[in-house]
Amino acid sequence: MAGNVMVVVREVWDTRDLVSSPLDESGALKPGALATRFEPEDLNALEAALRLKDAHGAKVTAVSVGPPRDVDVLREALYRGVDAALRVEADPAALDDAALAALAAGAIRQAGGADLVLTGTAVTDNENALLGAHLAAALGVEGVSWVDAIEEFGDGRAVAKRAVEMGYEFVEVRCPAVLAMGVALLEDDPRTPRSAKAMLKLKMKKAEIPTLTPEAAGAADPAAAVRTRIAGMETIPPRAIASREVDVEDSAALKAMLDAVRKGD
Amino acid sequence: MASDDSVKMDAIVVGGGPAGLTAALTMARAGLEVMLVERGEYAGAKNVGGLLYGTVLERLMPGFYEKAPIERCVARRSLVFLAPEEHMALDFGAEAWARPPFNHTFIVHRSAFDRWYAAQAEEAGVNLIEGMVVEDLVTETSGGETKVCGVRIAGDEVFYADTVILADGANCLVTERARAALKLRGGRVEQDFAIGAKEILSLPKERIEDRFDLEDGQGAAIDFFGAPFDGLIGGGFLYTARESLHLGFAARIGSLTKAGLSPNDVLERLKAHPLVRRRIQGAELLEYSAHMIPEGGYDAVGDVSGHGVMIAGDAAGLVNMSLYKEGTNHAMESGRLAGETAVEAHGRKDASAAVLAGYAEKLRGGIVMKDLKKYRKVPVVLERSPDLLGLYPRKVNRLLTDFFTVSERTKSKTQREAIRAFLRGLPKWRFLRDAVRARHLA
Repeated sequence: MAGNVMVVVREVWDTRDLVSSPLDESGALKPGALATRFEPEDLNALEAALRLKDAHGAKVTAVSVGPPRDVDVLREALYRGVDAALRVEADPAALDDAALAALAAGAIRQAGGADLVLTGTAVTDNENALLGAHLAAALGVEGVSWVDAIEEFGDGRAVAKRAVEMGYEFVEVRCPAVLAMGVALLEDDPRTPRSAKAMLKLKMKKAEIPTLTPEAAGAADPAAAVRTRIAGMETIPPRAIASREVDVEDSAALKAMLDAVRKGD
Repeated sequence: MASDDSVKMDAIVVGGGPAGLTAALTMARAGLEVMLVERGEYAGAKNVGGLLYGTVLERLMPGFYEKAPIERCVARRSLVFLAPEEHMALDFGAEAWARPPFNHTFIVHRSAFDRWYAAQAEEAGVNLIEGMVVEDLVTETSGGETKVCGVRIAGDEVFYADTVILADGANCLVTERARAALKLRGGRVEQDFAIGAKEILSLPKERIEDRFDLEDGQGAAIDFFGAPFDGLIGGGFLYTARESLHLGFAARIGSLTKAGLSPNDVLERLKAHPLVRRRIQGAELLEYSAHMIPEGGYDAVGDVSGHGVMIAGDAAGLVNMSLYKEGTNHAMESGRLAGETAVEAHGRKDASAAVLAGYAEKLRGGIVMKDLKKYRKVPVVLERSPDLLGLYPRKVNRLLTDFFTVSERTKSKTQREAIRAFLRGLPKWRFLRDAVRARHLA
């Protein structure tokens, strides 16, 4: 069977290599202080989707919410081999996972539904790994979190492999279903995301990406779908650590240092 | 375009810097089907910023400075000699430099500028492929002659073209493969490299304009010589961008190794000089970068074309490392000439070595190689007469400060002492020899 797979991908803040604080005195993000990147966990989900295309001839559609900022994740998905892309117009910065899921689910329904919906687990914006669960709820289908590999897919079912303590478990779901791909826990991680193809860049650079309004995705007011309430925020002061130097020739001092490390002083 | 598995272009350009983009733009404007492959995430991602001489660009896109992301025009220049505690500056400029065409000298952030330039090339019809690395060339050998007929991109994708233009920069691995495969001759001397290191320091616009005595849109380009670079063949620079300062230096890699200094050490020395410290005080570090500059000059330029291939820009070593420090403009000019030659070859349906040799001929007959030839002795002179940038300016500096040192001594005694101190330790014969050699630097 061929199958229809949709993968929800996100563009998130790139918090690597910060040279100074991206926040101003009031705790707000300084404009231009942070660049964005393709959510790395979503790249894993994309890879899993493309593997279903390779193995089963599934049609893969990438879905994303929001206009591209620094990285157009949908075009990147096209460069890596998805068959189609679909964008929902909304400001992702103003949304939480529940609202994001509502919009993505609306778009998926609008596009005719999917046998499997994949997404990544964590996301740097919230780090709460809830998008998969919210998507399953919004679509009213079964969902599995922390999936490390998709073992079987076809005949209206899929088998998800999850790494658990002391081994693996295999979860069978009826399609349609949502699988949130987890972090690499497999001994033999099969999900190293493939890179873009020059040929696809050549062909897809100017390809038009269909865009849905929030109304068309079934959420005329995306802000109303936000469930997160911020009660307060506090910054954690950095811990001051006094470094101590030990003479490398002094074996007694070295031993004392090792003891201190062991004891956790 | 051909089938899925094999795409054949009229031309493929490797590298999306000034040389590659200009070549691609020139060819696309003439109606060729062009693909440009850039390894950075976007054109300009591998570069930081600096001076841009715009004569070639002005001819290609008159009034480009109206639209391009230019930080400031260079309205003032300074040559500054630094002794550990003294300095001596020659400051000059012209009101005309602050009016179009701005003496064709601009300060740019290359990441923004190259991106803009790439967008112009794309608009002209260039297929711009970013974030992909060309790993090798596809060659074909028949009758003992090897020709380039395409490129191999990471992941083993092959693209074919009648002509491949290599503009892969100073660290040009693809060009090196082409040289080996086609047995292209190197220059009379081995290419020599300098390392350029630079910091971008943010400073509010108004403070830059007050501090450097500039009006809106005007910038200053300062060259530093002397103490921070003792024992090195090189010098420093400071350019004022819109809301940042570019402070850096370039020095021969060999001289850095010999002196046992890292690029960061030299940058710290430069920043520690009181005069430089005052220029950058209050500025915050935004970015640090280092890159290679081919400094061998005229004599290090080898063959720049072969069957199916041309080499442009830094990859060909076309940098003028005299006081003018002209790299981007030469890169653009060589890209333009390579592009024009490819268009001719396309018209004649012949990209043989003989036809593409027209590129080398145009290059030799044009401003790039003529300027490089004028300064061909610069690398040797700087190597053999290190006092030109060290001892002599320091002596003159000392003479000036001694001359104006106020004390209770009579003026004639002060002046006599100053001249005596100036002559002390000045090697007469070597000075004469160096003075004669110095003509090669001007």
